[in-house]
Formats: sequence, structure tokens, C-alpha cells
Amino acid sequence: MSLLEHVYSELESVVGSEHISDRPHILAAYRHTSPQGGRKSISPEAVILPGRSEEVQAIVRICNRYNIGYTSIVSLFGMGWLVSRPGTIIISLRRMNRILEINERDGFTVVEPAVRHVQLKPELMKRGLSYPVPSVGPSCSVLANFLGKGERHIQHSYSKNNRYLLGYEWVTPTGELIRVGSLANDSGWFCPDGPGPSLGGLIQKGNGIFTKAAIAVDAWKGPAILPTEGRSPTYKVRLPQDCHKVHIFKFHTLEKVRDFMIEMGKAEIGVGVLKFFYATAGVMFTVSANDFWEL
Amino acid sequence: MDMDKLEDYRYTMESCNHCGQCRFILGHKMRGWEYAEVCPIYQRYQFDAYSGQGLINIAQELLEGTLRYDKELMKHLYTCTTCGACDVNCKSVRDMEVLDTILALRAKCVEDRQGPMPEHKGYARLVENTHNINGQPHDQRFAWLSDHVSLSQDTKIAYFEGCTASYLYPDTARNVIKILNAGGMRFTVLDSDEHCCGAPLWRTGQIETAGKLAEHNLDVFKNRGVKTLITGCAECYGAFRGFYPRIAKPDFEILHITEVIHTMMKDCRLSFKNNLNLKVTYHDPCLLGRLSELYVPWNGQIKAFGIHDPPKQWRRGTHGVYHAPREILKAIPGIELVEMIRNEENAFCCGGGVPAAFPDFALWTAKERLSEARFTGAEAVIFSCPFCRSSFETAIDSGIEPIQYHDITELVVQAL
Repeated sequence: MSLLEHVYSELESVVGSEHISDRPHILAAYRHTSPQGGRKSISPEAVILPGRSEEVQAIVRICNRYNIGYTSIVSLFGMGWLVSRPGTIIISLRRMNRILEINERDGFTVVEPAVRHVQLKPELMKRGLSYPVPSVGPSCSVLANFLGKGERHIQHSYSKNNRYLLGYEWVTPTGELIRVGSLANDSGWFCPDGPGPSLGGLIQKGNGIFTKAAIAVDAWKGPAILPTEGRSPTYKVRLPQDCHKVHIFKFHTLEKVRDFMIEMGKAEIGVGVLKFFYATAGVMFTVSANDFWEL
Repeated sequence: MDMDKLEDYRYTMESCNHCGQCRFILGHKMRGWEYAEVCPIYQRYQFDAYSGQGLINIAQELLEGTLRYDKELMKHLYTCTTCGACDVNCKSVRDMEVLDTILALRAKCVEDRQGPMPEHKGYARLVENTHNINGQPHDQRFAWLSDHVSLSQDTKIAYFEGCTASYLYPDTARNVIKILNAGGMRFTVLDSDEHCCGAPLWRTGQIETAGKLAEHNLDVFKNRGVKTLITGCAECYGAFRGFYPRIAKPDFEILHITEVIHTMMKDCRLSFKNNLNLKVTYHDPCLLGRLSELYVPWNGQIKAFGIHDPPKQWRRGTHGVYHAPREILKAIPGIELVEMIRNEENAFCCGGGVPAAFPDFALWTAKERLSEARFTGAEAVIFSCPFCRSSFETAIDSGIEPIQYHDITELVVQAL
């Protein structure tokens, strides 16, 4: 099955011919079988690259009109089986990549979906701000990353990552543009839940498309630019010791961990216990699969 | 597996998890929103198929027969500049051969009589007839040599100038000679025995023709007793280091002129007197930087968990020629060196790999790189490859905001 010619033309009229394709080789990048997934993927019928929220709305409405499925993507990290049924198109948000605001006073930033950690984080660090990156690499979408509600390795020190998500703009599955949280009342981006009723329970991953979001930011006491030494694949970043220190404690029993945590709590020091998979550290300190195997 | 056929790269094709690192600068080198993307085709054309990931996905489908050749596909495959930014960024975290897969894919296209682009076939015809990619008379290859040049006959050191310097930029070749003479190096040239290094053919999948050139040049080096080869061209350097070892084990040393100058400086055989008073930024040519590590053939098995048996010597862009040109620039009086965001192994290509078939895209790429150079506040962009010079010259001539551009040898000669 492929898109009917007039449907393709309608979609093309939204974004221009340069930003839509149904060429088989262009679609190959969206049907590759993920090594984690294993199952052979279904090919999308086309890929379309909107540049604005209004274009996303128009695309969603066309899809609904002709009963075409759609999946929105940015970075593809770890994704297999993007398409669950034939007759689906990919909406790549890759062109929507602007940092719309960095609000130093109120501690948030507003981004479009295709802003990557590798872009946002250094922009914030220049301004003495930062945020925790929840378990992904630098090329992943900031917005998509903070939508996840799963447990991430940052939560022991920063809380769950979706707590950093503030106001957002959302194209509903029927193509309306909804401003959620404090945004809905023209009160700015600071809160995802009101004043007024929250849509947080309704909006889950997979429903509609997020087109803008505000992310909370923290103070950053480190350098404005990471002092990087070495070259790929063995970089080193030495952070100033006056604001970054690592202490390693070893406990032989869970009871001792408990006692330690109680004392830390009494001292009002934030603490979390993370069962860290040693392999992750191993990957960081080796340069090849062979090295890792011998570790 | 000999790693000379597309099938040999099945592990790379199958193990890609679309992490996107082939498109973006590494986290450690991040500086901001601007200039975070490293892949020219991804930045220009924006679909994911235009990236290292996309190209190896296509390679896998062609291999498995689920994708068929057509003209649009050929254009797509040959738009890539083969700059290797995807390759070294992927290899910062994975044991995959993204660029070699792309090159093997192109070789398969040629083998299947689908590739390369007509303009690339033209290279092969010109090389066959004139031994250079410019189609210029072979007997004029060393026409730029003047009587004032001091050459030695009883030496095992040879200067390999390359097609582009010979015919388009003889001033660069003359500068190399002046520098070698100033440093007291005894060397010779290969005269009419020097043929194209084969890089443009290798990188467009025309392996058979490129291999013949390599065999010819290797025979010349052997018959003339060459033990050290010096070149001022990054393309030639990259071919000698990355392609020739796939033909035969090299028994000679390959040096780029920047390495020679740096050594002469350390040995106090060369010093700079003149103040140039210039703020510059250095553009790392792909084949002198991240793609210049010596290729070591590997023949073995890839086992579970990606274990390579026997262990493989990886080319991750770690040991490219990054240090020498920067040390030279820093040593020239009055030169202030500032860095671009995408530098060293993350350098953005100049577009020099694709001008013949895709001049508009090549121009776009060069403009993007010059925009980054201007972003540093530099007055001039410095490089060490005649292909980069050609790219930047074309961009400047197109009418963009001007910036000075110089081959590094030009500044060295001015400073002597």
C-alpha cells in the first residue's frame, strides 16, 4: 500500500516538496530492524518534516481525514518497529529545533522537539544553568526525553525526570493545538498542572504530538565550557573540585546502608540509592568490545 | 572475512541502534546550539536516510534485495562527501565501520554497473588517459618546477605533490619545495613517474582503477628506493594511509608537510622571523585529520557481543594529524589561533568530496564551514589541502561575506 496521489499532494502542500518523501530508499532509515527488537519492521508510506506547530496540526488532520496512521519521531534512538500497521507515515520533527526561551530568573527553558541535549545543555551552562540528562546520549531530543515517566538513573539526585517538564504545547490526536498547564491561562510556562484542571493523566506518550515544552533548570556551579581533554574515544572532563566531588562509600550489609541514609537524612542531605549496573561504568572505561570483555 | 566486500560489513549494518551519534558532535565537545551537527548531508537534506545510519540501512536492504537500484538512489548514495564524521563519532561508543560500509556499498554499485555518477566515471577516463584527475597533459605535471629548486638525486625521500597542487595550485607545490629547502632537507620528486594517488576513485567505489594507480605508484616507490614520502595534499595522504595498505603492505613512511615542518621546528632547522599579525582558525581536512590513521588489514571473525577475533586495530580518528598544524601556527609571530566548534575529529567537511557531481551541495557545505570560521572572529581560515582550498575559493567567489583563506604552507613561507 502506498499513499494515494492526492493525499500525498495534500501533505506536500503543507510542508513543500523538499520536506516530504515516499522514495523507498528514504524510508529505509525508518524500517531498519532494531538490534534490540529483532522483528522485521513495517515500512512507513512516507516521511514528512513539518517546521511549525500549525503544520503538525494540518498533517494530523489530513491523516485523520484519510485514516492514515502516523508516528512522530526526532532522534530514533533505540527505536525499532516505528510503524505498527501498514498505511502509516512518519512525522519527523527534526526541523523544529529552536530554543525559544531561556528564562534565567524563573529557571526554565522553552524548546521545540528537535533541540538535542548536545545543543541545549551548553547553552544553559554558559548562563550558569543546567539540568539532569535522563539516561540518554547527547544527540537525543530534550523534549522527548523529559516526557518519559520511567525510572532513570538521575532520580537519586534530581527526582524523576518528568518532574522537570513544565508547561507544554500539544497537538491533540484530532489536530487541535492545546496549551497545557499554566500556559492555558496565559500565566507563562512555569507549571504543567494548572491553575485549573490538569490534562496530565490524559496526555500519555503516544497520544498526539508535543510541539513545544518548558523544562525546569537548576543552577550550575561548574565551568561555562566543559574542560575536555583527549580525543575520541577517550575523553576526560575534569570538573572543578570546589563544586564537584565524588565520594565512594562501601557498605557490606543493607542495614548499614539504612543507617547511613538515616544519618544523611538527619543532616538534611539529599540521598538516593541506585543499583548501578557495573557494565555501564565498564563501557566508559574501555574502548572496544574486546577491551570490555577482558575487563 | 577480508573486509573487502559489502557482505563483510553485515555486523555494522545489523547492530546500528539509531542512536544518532553519527549526526552530532560528541557531548564532551559541545559548545551550544550552533554548529552541533557534523554530517553535511544530514544538515542539508534533513531526512534520516541522509546520514551514516541511513546509508548503512540502505546498504543492508540492497544486500538483502529488498531495495532496488534506481537513479535517485544512486544520487543519494553519492551525495555523501565520505568525510567520515559519522564514522569517528559512531566509533566513540561503538565498534562499527560506518564509512567502510559506505565505501563498500559504492564499490558494490560500481561492480553492479549502477555507479558511480557520470562525473566520477569521467575521473577514471581522465586518469587513464592523462594520469591526473584534471585531464591536463601528463608532461606538464612538474611544469611549475623552477631552476632555483634544489633537488637531490641520492636520497630516499620523495615529494609527492598530487594532481590538484600540480595543475591548479602550483604555488602550493612551490611553497612546499621552498620549505623543504629552507629546512635543509634532501629530497627528490618523482617526475613523470608520479600518477594520481587514486583517492577520488577509491572514494567513489572505482576500486579496480584506483588499485591500478596504487600498484603503479607503489612500484615507482619501490624501484626508486623511496623510504619516506612527503605530500602537501591531505587527499593523497589519506589515500596512502587508508587505501594503499589494502593493496599492499607499505614499506615506506608517509609524512604530510605539516608533520615535516613541525619536526624541523623541533630540531631547530626552521624558524619564523616575520610577524604576520593575523587572527586565524584552522580547518582540519578530513583525510589529514580523522581519516588519516594507518589502515591495518583485519581478517577474522566477529563473535557474540561484538568480540573481534583476532583483535582489530580500529581507526577512530584519535591519532590524526591535529597537533602539528596547530603548533606551526602558534609558532608564527603575530598569529593568533582560535578554534572552531567542530574541530579535529569533529571537523565539518569543506565539501571537497562531491563538487564534480553535486556542485550546489558542495558550495553549500563550504559556505557552512566558512560561516563557522567567521563565527570564531578569525580573519582567515587556514587549511593544509588543495581540495579544501578549491572548495573555499569557490564559496568566496560565489559572493558570500569574504574571509581570507590560506594553505598553511603559504603562511609558513611568508613567515620564514
